[in-house]
Amino acid sequence: MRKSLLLLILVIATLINAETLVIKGSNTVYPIAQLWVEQFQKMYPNVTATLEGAGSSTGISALLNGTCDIANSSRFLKAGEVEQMHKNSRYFVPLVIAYDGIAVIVNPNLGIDSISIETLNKIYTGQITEWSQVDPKLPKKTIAAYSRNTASGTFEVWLEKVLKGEKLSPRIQMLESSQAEIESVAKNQYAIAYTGMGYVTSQVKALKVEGIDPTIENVLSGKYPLSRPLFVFFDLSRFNNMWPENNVIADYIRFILSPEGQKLVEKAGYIPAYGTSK
Amino acid sequence: MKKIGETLFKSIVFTAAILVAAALFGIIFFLFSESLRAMKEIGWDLFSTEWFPVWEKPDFGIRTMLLNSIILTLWTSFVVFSIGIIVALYLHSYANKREKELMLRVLEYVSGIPSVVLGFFGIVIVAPILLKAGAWTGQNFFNASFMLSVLTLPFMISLSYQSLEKVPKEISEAAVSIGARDFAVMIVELRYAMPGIVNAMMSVFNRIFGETMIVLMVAGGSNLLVRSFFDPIRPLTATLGSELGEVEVKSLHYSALFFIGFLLLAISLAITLLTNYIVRWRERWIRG
Amino acid sequence: MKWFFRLTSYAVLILMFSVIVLIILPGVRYFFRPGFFTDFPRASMTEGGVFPSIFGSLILISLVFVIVIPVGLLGSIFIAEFSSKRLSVVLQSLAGTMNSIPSIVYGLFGLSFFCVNLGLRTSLISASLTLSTMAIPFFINSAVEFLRSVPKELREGVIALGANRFETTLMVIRSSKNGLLTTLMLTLGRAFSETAPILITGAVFYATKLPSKLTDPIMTLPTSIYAIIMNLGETARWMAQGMASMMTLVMIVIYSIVQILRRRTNG
Repeated sequence: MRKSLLLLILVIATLINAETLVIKGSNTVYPIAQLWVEQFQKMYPNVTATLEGAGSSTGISALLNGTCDIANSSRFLKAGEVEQMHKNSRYFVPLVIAYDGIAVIVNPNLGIDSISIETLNKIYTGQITEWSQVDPKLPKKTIAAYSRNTASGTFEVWLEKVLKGEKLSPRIQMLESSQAEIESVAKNQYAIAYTGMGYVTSQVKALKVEGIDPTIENVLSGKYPLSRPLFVFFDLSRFNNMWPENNVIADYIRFILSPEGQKLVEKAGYIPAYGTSK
Repeated sequence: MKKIGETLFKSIVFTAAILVAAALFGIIFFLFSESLRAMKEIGWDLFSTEWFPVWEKPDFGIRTMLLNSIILTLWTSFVVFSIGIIVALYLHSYANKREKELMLRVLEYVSGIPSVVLGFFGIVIVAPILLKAGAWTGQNFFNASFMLSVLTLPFMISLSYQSLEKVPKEISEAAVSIGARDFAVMIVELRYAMPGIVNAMMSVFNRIFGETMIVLMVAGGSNLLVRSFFDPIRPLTATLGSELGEVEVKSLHYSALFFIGFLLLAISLAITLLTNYIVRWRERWIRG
Repeated sequence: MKWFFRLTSYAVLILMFSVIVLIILPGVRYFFRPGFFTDFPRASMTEGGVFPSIFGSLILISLVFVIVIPVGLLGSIFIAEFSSKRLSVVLQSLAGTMNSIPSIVYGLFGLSFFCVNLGLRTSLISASLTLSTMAIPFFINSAVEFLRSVPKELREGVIALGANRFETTLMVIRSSKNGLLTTLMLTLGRAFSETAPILITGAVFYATKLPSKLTDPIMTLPTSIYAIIMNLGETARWMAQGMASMMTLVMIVIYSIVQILRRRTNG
């Protein structure tokens, strides 16, 4: 009885026309996107938005497959993806929406404050496996190193800047999200991980990399070695390769680049790309 | 008039049944055809040890994951078989009516817990305990094995118990009358209930091998060949669950994942067919 | 000897009981948070409620119900009543085999067939079709046994009174209705708890509105639990805990109903 009633509701709901905005992609950008979507919903009540944050690669794949409207990404397109894009006569417009630094985090109780990229490389390729090898003053305990999984844009940036293309050691544990990394490090005294700056809380300690703190100033000035821009991509070929004027994607983009949208970037803990004052 | 209605009815139900057969062949066909590209382009390298799907020069070796899946399944099955049979024997030979009802009821409720909830339990409750016990990471082989046991133990116990109950009274009474004691009587009953118990064992094995959500959440995420109980591992099903979301449709990575799926399908079908064969053979042996 | 068996059994009992309690109890108090059942989640799942997930799960189950009843019931009727001995053995073992295929394989099939081949993409309809493909063999496996258990005398009696095949079948259904109802409840319970197949064919992490057409993606209880635990922090954990308690309680209710039905059939 109840089930047939629900079916009736579904049928009626089908008759109501609503626009859907499908957003997929970066887990790093997710907290910003969540705030954006919530605010956007208030401004445009007719629009239904769906949001996912499984990783930058999922967003870009979805854009290629035609299964999303907007792809959030914490990395730029890979060479292979650019080729695919051209092969299918598509054009993904890259919009820089924020800046971010990848913070290297450890448990607050671990006695280390700074680390070099070379050490990070050795840890993540498996050449160093115990904390005492990093610094003889540290205990002789196995390093529990975490990484984002291969869908992640943050991972791709790490691969480029820290691993320099080398293969990740099998000891490294892959986690599905940045938040999972924060939690793992907060709970495990001998853990190390990396996430977007916006995720860092007082539960973990962010290390200096090559002696430089991951602060907003250092990221903006480019001093912090693990800085990167955060992107939003959309497919221009859907609009006959002309800038979209009157549809929901245009409205969304206008919003996220506006001062209100950029204020939300700040609120999420990231660095806005454009001004936040009207 | 009645004849037409009857024939119509017959053809409708026939179609419905054929749909099921079509589905099975459909599944096999689709999985196979999507994995063809991987099999052609990667060939035997699919069985190398490293899995690095998104590097510039990708590796698609499933050997470590396959071995980890097998080791996890064998160990957990062993634990579940032993404990399961012991509890089933207790219920059959020693328990009184109230104990039986209580146990079976609790077990039935546990069997209904969704696997994602059990994974939740593993992360929220078991992992911190393991960390305190000295594990270097809370999500590991032990955690996965433990939650998988909770998942499959109710099934093992209840099926074994039912098989034992089906043993005709004459057999057990005959054993007692020639002077056998408790333990020996149990052995006789077990022998007779073997087909049902073996059926349960194989189903448990199959279930553990194919379980996705629990291992995705609590087995850890590294591709190490497991060496200690506290090592994190990545079984085949976890790789599928984790990477299917990101993969570009029809890419080589996509095809390699379908190869894993096809392998899982083939192994579970093989186990099922083997079970049917063994059970039927054993039953014939018992009937004499 | 006996004490060893007893010790193990009681240890298992206590363990199982604690698992159930530890899952359900911590979550129940969240039921009383205002709006838990009726609100959308807000502020990255740290406030609000789980309404869209509940709605998504219900819609999904309704669609599965609509698909499984005709195909499953009619298929079982064919196997139990109309087919030859050989064909029924073949079909039954097919159904049994399909039952033991891992759920993620069904997800892969759903992805390649429904989402890509038929172009249905990540949507409610893909997820329901995938779940139904899983649920139908499960239903048939169990329903055929119940249909077969109707005694021959009853069948022969009705035919003697002049009933045709169709009416005989109706009678068989009516007499095994308890068993069929049990099977239906277990099948729906199974579909309700499955996560892997719908994770890749139909579910999204967060949607601002309820699905309005069959091709919209959905939020469901199991996928939301997974998403929250894997992607969000301790502040959102309460929502996952509440959903986990809810799902487990629903399954307990289903199994209790099944137990009552069983007792009724056995007189």
